[in-house]
Amino acid sequence: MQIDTLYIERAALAYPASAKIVSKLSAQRVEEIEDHQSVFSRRGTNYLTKRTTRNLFIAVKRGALVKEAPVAYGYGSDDLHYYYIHAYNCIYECEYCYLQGYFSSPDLVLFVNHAEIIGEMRQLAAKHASKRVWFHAGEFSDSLALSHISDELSEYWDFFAETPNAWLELRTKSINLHVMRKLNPLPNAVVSFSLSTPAQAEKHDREAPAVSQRLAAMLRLKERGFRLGVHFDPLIYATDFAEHFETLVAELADTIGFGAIDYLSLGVVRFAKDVYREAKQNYADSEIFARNFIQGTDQKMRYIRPLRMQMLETGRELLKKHGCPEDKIYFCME
Amino acid sequence: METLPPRGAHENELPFRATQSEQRIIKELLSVAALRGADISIWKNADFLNSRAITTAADCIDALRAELFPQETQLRRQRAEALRPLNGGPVRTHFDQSLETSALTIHATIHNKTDFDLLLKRLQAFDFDRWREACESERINAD
Repeated sequence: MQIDTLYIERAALAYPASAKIVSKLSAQRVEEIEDHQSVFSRRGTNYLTKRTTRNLFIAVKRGALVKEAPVAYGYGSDDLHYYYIHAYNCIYECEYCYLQGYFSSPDLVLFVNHAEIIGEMRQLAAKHASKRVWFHAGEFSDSLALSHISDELSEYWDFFAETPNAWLELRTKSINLHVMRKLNPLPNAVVSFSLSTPAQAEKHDREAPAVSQRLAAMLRLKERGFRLGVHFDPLIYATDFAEHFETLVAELADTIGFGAIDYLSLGVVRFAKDVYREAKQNYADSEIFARNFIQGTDQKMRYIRPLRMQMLETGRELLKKHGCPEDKIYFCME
Repeated sequence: METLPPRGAHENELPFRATQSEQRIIKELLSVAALRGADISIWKNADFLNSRAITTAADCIDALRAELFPQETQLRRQRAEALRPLNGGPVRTHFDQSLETSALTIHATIHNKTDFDLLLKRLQAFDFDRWREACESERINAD
């Protein structure tokens, strides 16, 4: 992968993962730095510079490595949900992405202290030994898009193989299965794909693989025996939403089948207030903003509740109509 | 003596006075209209606005909202209608304008026992459970 400036934290040099990452990159400049935050956070780089400039940081994650997920984030209301942070930012450019406005830079950061992250997961899994404890990847970066470069998944796989009450979810829009090909399916690891109607994905999921490619990647994983999940998130209103959504659901039922999918979430487009402002600035012509957004009780900008519920319930009914068991469906962040 | 403009009013392209906040709301609504392919210049045309009896920024905001979000506007009307028993006399009741919750804000000014009795009567005549159920079952298929 071509990189403009590769920044390496001095502390990261001690980790073998750093050298592996460097060997897979082609950087015009390499700079050793003391602390990635001092460059990454202080620069205030415009989000859309990611179109022309790609900088990457190799760093050690400090502070919280594993965080509690928000309410209604994952499947299984009796389960515990955490997400872990292995990277910041993404190579895709989805118009609704909450990463715009979240960090002050669109530069990529790959963290290398996976043993410490896994250590925190191990403690949490042991503390809640009688519960299913989910660890979600993909909160701040697509979990597979750069996995051939970051190459950390095998370490996590070892942990999940020996910790049956810990469950892994890799959230992705990527079709990069290089690393997945080398791994064997685990009963407690799910690869979940974000899907939208093809027309909306083409408009709004800039640089991300087409929905047909994502379905093909799901099929390859299914054939290898991996557990799968689906996030219909974000649902974006259009007058023909139900018609297009039903076509997508029918295709999912035909190509993958609901038997091979552990859970499916439905979530309506929403933004933190700052992200809403930033996204509107970055994509002023986007049809996403041709609707009324109100500030919800959680301070997020959303469609009004009667429209959200209509979309979620329509989505659920269409899934059921095409054979999806109701207990596999949940509404995300609602 | 010349009449002073209302506090917060600013010069703008609109043919009526508007506070900065009203201007911001109108600008937002016009940007939604533009994204839907509407000709937004008419909303700055005095003849068009007069023909619709739009003479203030508040009228303009209401009209734009009704035009862009008719189903949502209809829901607000229904809520206002359902709150009739709780309005009048010493009581003013407001619902959550975001339609997110069934919360009510009730203001009452009690000067005497008559006001107090009237307040009690209005409260007792109102079925909150029915109101809450109606709010929770609100659904629209467009905004």
